[in-house]
Amino acid sequence: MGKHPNDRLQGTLDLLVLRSLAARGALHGYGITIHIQSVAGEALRIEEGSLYPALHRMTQEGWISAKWGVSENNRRARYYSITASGRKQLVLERQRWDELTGAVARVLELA
Amino acid sequence: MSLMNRMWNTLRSNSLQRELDEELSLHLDLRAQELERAGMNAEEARAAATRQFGNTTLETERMRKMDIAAWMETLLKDLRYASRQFSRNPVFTAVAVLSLAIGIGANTAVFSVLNATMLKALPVRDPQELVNQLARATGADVSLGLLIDGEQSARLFGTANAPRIAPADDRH
Repeated sequence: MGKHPNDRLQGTLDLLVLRSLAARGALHGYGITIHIQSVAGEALRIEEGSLYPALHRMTQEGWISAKWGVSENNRRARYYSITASGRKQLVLERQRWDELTGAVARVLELA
Repeated sequence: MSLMNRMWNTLRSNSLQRELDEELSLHLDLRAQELERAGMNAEEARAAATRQFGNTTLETERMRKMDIAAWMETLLKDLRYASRQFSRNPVFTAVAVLSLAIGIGANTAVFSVLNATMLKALPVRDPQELVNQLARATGADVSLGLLIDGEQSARLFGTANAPRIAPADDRH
């Protein structure tokens, strides 16, 4: 899908999800939400509704793979884990993020 | 996810929808449980979880559109790739197109003949009772007089018909 590389809003969510999966292994959607919430605190709240379309899209891109498993409360749950191409994408997204925040920081210093 | 998977997703939208529903409802239940542990009553917790999640129908719809869009995009890419390959090998393209055209043409021609001669019933009433009447002595075509005779002696034949009528001076 023609995604503009400057689409930071989408890219940031991808970055957070990929990083969480790289750190924690297989997680279901709610697990990803909780992980990000527990690390980032209240200041950063990911929009839960848009998480699932993002997971779906990233599965199609081949960055993550989905597998049905059993959740902690004994329900069927879809567990996501990062793939090799997802790790590459994580490096790329991270570079973009660093570039963006670096550029914003430089502007703030000068202004 | 491969192209086949995407096509499959667009077709089996029902089971995809069920899987998504299952995934989303698990999310809401777990969130509600957590809120309950934090002290909300069950009803409040469910409402809060739903509120926090947002519009589920909209989200699943968005995912479905994603599948269809991705599928159509891949299809378009394939078509573009095919036409590029064709223009790169004009001789191959011409041979392929020509053999297809000849194949289809020959098939149509053979079928038209078979259809007219063997498959279609003759355009007369009760074609299974049709007889071919020849003038016995000469084996030539039946003359108009004989034909009329035949028709008039209707005990023998229902109706008479002739694809050709012999000229009058040929009469025997």
